[in-house]
Amino acid sequence: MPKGISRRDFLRLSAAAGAGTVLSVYGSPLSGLPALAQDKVDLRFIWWGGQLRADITTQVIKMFQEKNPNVNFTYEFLSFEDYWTLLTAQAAGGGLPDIMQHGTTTLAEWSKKDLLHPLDEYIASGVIDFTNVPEVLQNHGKVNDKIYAVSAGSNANGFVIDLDAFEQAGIDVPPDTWTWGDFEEIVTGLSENLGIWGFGSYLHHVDLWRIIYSGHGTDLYATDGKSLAYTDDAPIVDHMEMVLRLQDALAIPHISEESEVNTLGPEAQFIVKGQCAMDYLAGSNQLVAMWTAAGEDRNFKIMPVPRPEGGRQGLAIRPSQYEAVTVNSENPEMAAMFLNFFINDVEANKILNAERGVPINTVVLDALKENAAAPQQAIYDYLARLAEDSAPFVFPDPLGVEDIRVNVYYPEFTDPVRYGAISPEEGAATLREMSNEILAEANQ
Amino acid sequence: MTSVLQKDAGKFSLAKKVVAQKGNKKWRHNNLMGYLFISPWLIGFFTLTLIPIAASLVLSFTKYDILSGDVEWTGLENFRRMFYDDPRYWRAVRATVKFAFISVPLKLLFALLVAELLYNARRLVGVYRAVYYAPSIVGGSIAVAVMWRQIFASKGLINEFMLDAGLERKLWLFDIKYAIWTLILMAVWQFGSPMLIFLAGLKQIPSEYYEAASIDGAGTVSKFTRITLPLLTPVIFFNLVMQLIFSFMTFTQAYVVSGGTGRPLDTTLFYSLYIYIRSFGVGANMGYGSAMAWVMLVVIATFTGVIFLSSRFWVFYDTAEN
Repeated sequence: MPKGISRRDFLRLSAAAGAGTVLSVYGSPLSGLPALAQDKVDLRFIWWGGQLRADITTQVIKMFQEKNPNVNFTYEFLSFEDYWTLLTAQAAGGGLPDIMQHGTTTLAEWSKKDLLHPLDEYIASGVIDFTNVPEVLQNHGKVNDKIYAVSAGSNANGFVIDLDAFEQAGIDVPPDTWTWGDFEEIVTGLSENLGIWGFGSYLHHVDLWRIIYSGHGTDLYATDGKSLAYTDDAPIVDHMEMVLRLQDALAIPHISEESEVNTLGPEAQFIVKGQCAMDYLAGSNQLVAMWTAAGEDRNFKIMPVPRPEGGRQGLAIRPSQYEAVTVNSENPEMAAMFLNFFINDVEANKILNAERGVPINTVVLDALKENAAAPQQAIYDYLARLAEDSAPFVFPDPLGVEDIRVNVYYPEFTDPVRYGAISPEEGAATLREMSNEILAEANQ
Repeated sequence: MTSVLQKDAGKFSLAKKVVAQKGNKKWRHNNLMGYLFISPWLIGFFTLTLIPIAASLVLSFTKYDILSGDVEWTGLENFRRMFYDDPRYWRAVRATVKFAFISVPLKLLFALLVAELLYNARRLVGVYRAVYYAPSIVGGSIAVAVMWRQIFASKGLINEFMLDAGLERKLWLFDIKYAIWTLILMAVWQFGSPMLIFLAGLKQIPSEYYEAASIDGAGTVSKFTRITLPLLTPVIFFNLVMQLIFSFMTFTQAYVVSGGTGRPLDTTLFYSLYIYIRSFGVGANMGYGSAMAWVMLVVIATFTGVIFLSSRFWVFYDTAEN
C-alpha cells in the first residue's frame, strides 16, 4: 500500500486507466462517432494477412471510394489466429463488419449459423456480375443451396522449391508425380549436400492430413459428417514417422525451431532467407508474398504435394479464401457492390495481382496473364498443371472441423509426436477418437 | 489497493451508524449524496461484475456457443468432460500449479531479501524503492510481455549474450524444458509490491528487540531468524495469500509470450489462458469456460482456506501491543 498515493490520485489514475480501456476496445476514439454527412454509407472490411496484402487491399479500397465517394470505408487487418478471435467476439456481440474474409471450413460453419448474408439476390439483380465466372467457381461459395460468399481466388496447397538450391546440390527437379519416398530421399540429399534444411516448416500441417488420405483414395470426413471416413491410422502414422526420421536427421527444423515462424505467415518462412531448399505452401497464392519478401533474383517453382506409392494425386483446387457479407451489415447492397468490384474490376485486380489466389473471372485472369511477373507466372503454371490431375474439391466440410484443427490436431497429435512425448501410433489414435467425438456432437 | 478500499469501506459504515443515530433530514440528504457519488462505482459493480459472475454460474451448466448464440442446458456435462475427458485441462492445471508453487516462494524470498537490504540502506532509499517497485507496476502489461518475448527469442538479447559467452543459443520460448521458466522469471522480477509490504512490516518491528538481542550477543543471522522472521509472519501470511491468488490468475504474460497457445506442448498453458481459449477461441463454448472458471474459484478458495487454517500454527501476532 504505497502511502504516497492519495485517494484522489488513486481515483484519477483508475479513471484514466478505465478510459484507456474503453478507447482501446473501440479502436480509435473517433470510430464511434456518427458520420457527419447524412448520405454517407459506412462500409467496414476486416481481413487476415500480411503486409503485402494490407498494402494492396487498401489501394483497392481507395479506388472503390473514388468511384463511390459516398462510401465511408474503414478497414482492419490481423494475423489469422487473432482475426478469428476478434471476429468470433464480434459475432457474439452483433458487431460484425460489413465484409469479412473466410476460409472453406469457417464459411460452412458461419453460414449455417446464419451469420452471413446470402448473395443470391444480388447475383440475380446483377450487382454481383458472374457472367465471366465459370459455374463451378461460382458454386464454391454455395452452402445449403445459397451462395454466401465469392471466392477471392483459386489456389491449392503445394511445396515451393528453390531451383537454385537444387542445382547447387546437383539434384534433379522431380516430376509432378513424385512420391513421399522420393521426397524423403530428396530432402535428405539436399540437406547433406547444402548444409541447410532440405525442407522448412509445417511438414505436419493440418491440410496434409486430408491430402494424404485423399492420395490413398479415401475422403477425410464421412458423407454424413458425423465421423472421420477412415479407420486405418497407417497413412498418417507413416507420415509422422517420416517427419520424425527427418527431424532426427536434422534434415528439417526441430519443432521448437519452427514454432517461432509458423504463426508469422509466408514472409517469415525459412525459404525466404535461404535456410532451407524446399518449404510448405499453405496455399499457392502465398508464393506472391513469399517471393516478394525473398527478392526478385530468386527462382522458385511450386510442386504438388507428393503422393503415396501407387496412390493418386490428393490435392484439390479450391478457393484460397472467400469474401462474404455479414448479417450485421446495414448496407449489404453496397457491400455486394464492393465484392463485385473486387472480383471483376480489371484495374483493381492488376493491383491485387493474384495475391489472394488465381482470379475467378476469366477476363480478369487473361488480362493479368499478359504481363504476369515471375511469382504469378509460377502460380498460373502450377494450377494449370494441377487442373489435369487433381482430387475433387469437397465442400462444405462438416461442422467442428476448425475445432479439431485448433484443439485436437496440433495440441493432441502433431506437437506431442514431434516433441517426442507420445508415439505416432498413440497420437493418431487419439486424433481419430477425439475427432470422431467432436464430429458426432457437432453434426447431430 | 485492497486495504485502502477496505479502510474506506470501514469509514463508510461508521458514517452510516452516525447517520442512523442522528436521523435528521440533513444527514439523510448527505447520505443520499454519498450514494449518488459512489453510484458510478456501484452501477459498474452490479452490471460489470456481479451480474456476469452470476450469469457465468448459470452458464457453467450449459453449452453456450457464442457464434450462434444457442444455449443448451447440459447439467453437469461440462464438469464431467473437464475431469474425465479433456487431457488439455489437466495439462493446464499442471502448468498453473507448477508456476504458482515455484514462482510464489521465489518471489517472496526475493522480495524479503531486497526489503531487508533497503531497510538497512542509508542513502537514496526512495530512489531504490521506486526502481524496485517499477517492474510490478508495468509487469502485468502487454508491452512488458512483448519485451520479454523479444528478449528470449531465438535471436534475442539473452541468446546474444549466450553466443558472446561462447555458449550455444537456446530456444527459450519453444523448448519444453525452459519455456515456463521464462514466465517464472518474469513473475519473480515483479517482486516490488510484496517488497513494499515487507518493508512496512520490517519498520513496525520495535528496534528495542534488536538492541536487547545485541546486548545478549546475538549475531545477524540469529537476529533475523529469532526476531525478524517470527514478527514478520503476519506480513508473510498476507503476501503469500495475495501472491498465490495472483499467480493462479496469471493470463497476460502467458498469452503474449506463447502467442495465445500455451506452447510449447501446453507447458505454459495457464488455467486462465485455457479458459480464454475455450471461451473465445475456435469452437468457442462459453459454458465450458464458465465451468472451468468456477472450478478455479473453488480451488483458489480452498488453497486460501488451507493457508488460513494453517496460519494458527505459524503466524505469530504480537498481541501485547493491542
